[in-house]
Amino acid sequence: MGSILFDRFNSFVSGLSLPDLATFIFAGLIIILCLFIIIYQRQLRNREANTGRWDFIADHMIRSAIFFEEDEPVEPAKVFEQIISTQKFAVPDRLQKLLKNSHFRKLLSGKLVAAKRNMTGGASDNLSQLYKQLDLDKRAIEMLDSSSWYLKALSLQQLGIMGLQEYEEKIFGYVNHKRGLIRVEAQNAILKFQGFGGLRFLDTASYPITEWQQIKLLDELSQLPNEHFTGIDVWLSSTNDTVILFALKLVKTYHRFELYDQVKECLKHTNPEVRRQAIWVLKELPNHETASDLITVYPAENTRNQITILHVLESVSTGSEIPFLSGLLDDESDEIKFNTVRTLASLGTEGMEVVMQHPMSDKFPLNQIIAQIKEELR
Amino acid sequence: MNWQDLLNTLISSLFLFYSIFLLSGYIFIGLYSIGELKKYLRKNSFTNYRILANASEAPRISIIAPAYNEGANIIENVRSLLSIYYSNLEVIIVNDGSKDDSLEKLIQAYELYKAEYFVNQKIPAKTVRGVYKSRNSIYSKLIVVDKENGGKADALNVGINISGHDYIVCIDVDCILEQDAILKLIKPFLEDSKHRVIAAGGVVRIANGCEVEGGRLVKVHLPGQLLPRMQTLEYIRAFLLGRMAWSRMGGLMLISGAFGAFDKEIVIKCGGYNHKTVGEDMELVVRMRRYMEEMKIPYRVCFIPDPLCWTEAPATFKILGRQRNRWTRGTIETLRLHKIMFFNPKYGLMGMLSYPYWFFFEFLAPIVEFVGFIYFNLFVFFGQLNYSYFLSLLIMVYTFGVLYSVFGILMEVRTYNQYKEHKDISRLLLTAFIEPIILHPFGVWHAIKGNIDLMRKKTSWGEMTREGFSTAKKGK
Repeated sequence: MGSILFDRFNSFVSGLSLPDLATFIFAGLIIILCLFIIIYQRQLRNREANTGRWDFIADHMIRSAIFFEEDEPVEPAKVFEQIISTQKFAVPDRLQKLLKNSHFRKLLSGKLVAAKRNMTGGASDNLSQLYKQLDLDKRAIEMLDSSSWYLKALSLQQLGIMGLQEYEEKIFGYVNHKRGLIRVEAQNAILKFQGFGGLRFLDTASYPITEWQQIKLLDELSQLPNEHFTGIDVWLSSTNDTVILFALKLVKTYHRFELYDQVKECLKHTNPEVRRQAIWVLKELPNHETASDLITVYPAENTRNQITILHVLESVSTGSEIPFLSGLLDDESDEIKFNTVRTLASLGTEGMEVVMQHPMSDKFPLNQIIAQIKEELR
Repeated sequence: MNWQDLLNTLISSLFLFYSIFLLSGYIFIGLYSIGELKKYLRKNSFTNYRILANASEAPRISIIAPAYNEGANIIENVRSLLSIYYSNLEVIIVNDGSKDDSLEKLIQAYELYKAEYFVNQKIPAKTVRGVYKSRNSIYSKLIVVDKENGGKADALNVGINISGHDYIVCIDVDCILEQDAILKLIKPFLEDSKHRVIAAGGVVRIANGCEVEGGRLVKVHLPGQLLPRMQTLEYIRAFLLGRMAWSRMGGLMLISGAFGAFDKEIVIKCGGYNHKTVGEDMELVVRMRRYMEEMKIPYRVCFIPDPLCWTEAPATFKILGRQRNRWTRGTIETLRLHKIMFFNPKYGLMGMLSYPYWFFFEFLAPIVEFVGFIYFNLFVFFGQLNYSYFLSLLIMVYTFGVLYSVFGILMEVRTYNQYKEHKDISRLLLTAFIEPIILHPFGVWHAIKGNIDLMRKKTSWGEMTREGFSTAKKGK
């Protein structure tokens, strides 16, 4: 019977032209995909129905942990039927069973991480303890040992936010990982464990610290109590340009006036972006030499950095730069002219007089620039 | 076999070969997009966009929105732009010589005054009649520019000249943005230290039938009308599959004019938007890529699969025809302007793959399809060709079209699943069977007309009448 069917199928297929055969294959795939979409949508709806129930169970458990106090007698929760745990938190039987479901575990871990982000003090510690009590840390370590970059990064994120310092050494092994996301999550975790001390990963960072990661790190540091940390001088002379850029941002954010000379050295760096960042940083560390330091490097700079220098001079000029600035009013670039007028205007009447006395001050574009700056000053 | 048979066989084989080539391209794109989509979604799950919105180190962005006769909705549209949650932002509305009362309405609603303003003409553009700022500090982010009419590209160039920030986001003023659209669009510029990200685009979705309140999208619905619904399917295919795959390959040549972010320095170095083409969005991206290749600067053009921007699709065949006609002309003009890159290894992937793909699959496909259809019909009519073979070929192409759409729907369901109502996906699946026999031939016909119009040197945009989300409104 089987061989007859096979023969018939064989002769049917061999009688088909190439387009016919392709049509049959495409039609078959259409049917399979349509069925898959319909079944998948049904599954999604079922999962969504479950999620409501799971949300309730997970939220209740997290709430219990947040409001748990050590001296409180451990009593069975009213909502849940049976308590099987004898550990710190009473874990209902239903939740224990649900933990075998990977979707529920993912949901619970996500909720714990989100709650932990917004908590401090005892409530925050309780959440970490609950995370461990439910063995979610062991699951996280399993994920860390998996081959998937996504699971590794997820694990690092969870362990970091949960503040599980016992895994610090293992996590530190990933701070220079070739995968960007893994590297970033490991660096963030170390920062959570050690505060400013965690920045030591910058000593050996060989991969770029992207601007996005720099913003994340600065945000992470902004949540820590301010302290006088060391190492910036080393990072300012790193061979990794992105480490220098980040170090410059640290100098600016934490007003490290003592590093003025090291920042000034960065004005000679080969990377124009490093030089530009250094110019901005000098604005935050002004002293009586800043303006002349910037004027010294001005002629060799590209237009973008020259404009940045003019912006910074608005804040750090003392008045002795007026001869230099008046010379720039004849620059070919209208953008330079515009920023020069603005800088001269910031020096008060004396600066504005120099602009007004310029032979081209009543001609375009200088007249239009002057009109705008005057209106801005009003 | 006589010479006629030989010629028939040769031509038939050529069409078959072209079809197989085209279908293989689509299969590759469909499959190749899966990995990129999965990677993006996973990576994105780690992102906390709130950090970026408030960070002092976040890049400074200028949103540029050209407006022409948008008086009916301009106040709401601008309010929607001003409500975007991002610290380092300025919103530049360029009134492109509107004949209606757009400017007066803006002056009144946002307490504007004509400011003294020096416009640095980094890119040549039409004369600026005035720059307006608000007396009210609540609207300090807003700059309104009034200029002589010069078309969308010219208005965008004026916006670039006015912009004081490092990145520009060009949008259609009547687009509805997702709350975190700017954050998502700007993030790729911060993530790559090895390449300079020169442009980024996101998914544009069809807003017809959706619920909109106060310039915000409240609820997503599949369009009730067939024509916008077919375009919804078309957009899903184009954005989720096509652009995602090209982004993964590093060969993306088009960022939608409705919503895209650009590195201003590179845009200025390239001379800004070209106002001599009706496909200024594609032409700018191609020119920027060409510039980067010629300068030998490592760069990237990124694409975000998140639905960031919702726009109203043409609801009538007349308006849709004009749009498709314009798209065709824009494509041809861009390809013509940059023909030096065609199979030119100097331009890397762009010259060897992206440009030839656009040439063979986007420009040539409707022509081959149209000519092939006429050829086969004629030969069948004169009994020179086996009718059943022609039919087989046609059905094969049809089933493949349906399959590709169904695959697109699958990707939509597995990723963003925007259409959650019970019957939405069934209706979308049904649309997949209808679209190849209505929208596709219609598109081919208007592509042919676009080719003819271009030969006749027609350069107009064609009026785009929109129905509006709640009330009727007119657009350029």
